[in-house]
Amino acid sequence: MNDILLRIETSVLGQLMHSSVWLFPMAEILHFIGLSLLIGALLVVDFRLLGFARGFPVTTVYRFLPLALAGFSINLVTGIMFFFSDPFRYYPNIAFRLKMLFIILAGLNALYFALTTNRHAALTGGEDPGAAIKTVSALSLLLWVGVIILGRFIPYVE
Amino acid sequence: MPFLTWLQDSPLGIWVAESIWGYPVVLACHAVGMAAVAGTVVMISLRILGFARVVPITLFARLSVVAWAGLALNVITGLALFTGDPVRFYYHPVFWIKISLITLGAVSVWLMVRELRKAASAPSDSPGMPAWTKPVAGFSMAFWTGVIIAGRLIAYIEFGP
Repeated sequence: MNDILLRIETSVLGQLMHSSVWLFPMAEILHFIGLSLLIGALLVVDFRLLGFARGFPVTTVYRFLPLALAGFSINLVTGIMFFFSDPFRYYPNIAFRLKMLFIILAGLNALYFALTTNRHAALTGGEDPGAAIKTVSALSLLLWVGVIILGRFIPYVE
Repeated sequence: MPFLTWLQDSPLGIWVAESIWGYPVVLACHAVGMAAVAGTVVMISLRILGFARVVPITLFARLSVVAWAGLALNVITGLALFTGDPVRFYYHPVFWIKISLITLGAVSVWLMVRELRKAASAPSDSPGMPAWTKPVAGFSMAFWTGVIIAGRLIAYIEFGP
């Protein structure tokens, strides 16, 4: 593992992130904008799926999913930039590891959601979405809030 | 300023500045509040600007509660963060730029939400949102993006009193 981390640290991106004073804060600003996009778009989708707004087809709110994906993509790129800036600090960091675990769990949750779309697509009006769909929606929000909290703890733990 | 030193020496100020978990816990809550405000404001603004018209206004009128909740959380956590290092924030020009942008942002959200609620309770054949809400939506996204940028820059730019 040390070899891989060393190669990351000495890579072109690693050196660039390490030597530039402004690259890290710029990436951080984009990371915050990306997370706002991701959470905002998920809130629209989950508001409908949780039943806070009803009486119209669930499929209409899927229009907001590309925004969530855009936010995630921004954060994947900027997140990789952070990791390259100091791989030996991030890799063993417990908050970083838990954050990655939460992102994987959120991903699996989203995958389950995608595989069961035919069930949500049937929701077109004011009917109750049911416990399974509500659980998946609530879980997605809780996991991503967990990701934000863990991310903010990275600089303060070992 | 005696008030700033009094704040700094208050129990909250000492907790935020000196306890191991005080600062990161408040900071983490501040990030969650930021996502709630900025995230919902962008979605509300995009809908007003004409994105995803198939989704009824009612959803966004209800979603506005999340924006206000996030703003309330961040006023509280923001005051706690200020108390942890009041002299530094008070003499930091970017901090005051951020506060100005938050004020403008909050007014823009209030204007949009007022119209969203009116449109949501109006009969379905009514004209919908007035045209002036579109520039307000554009400005609102710019204000809140500015708040995020200013917030990050405070951490990286130093100004002496």
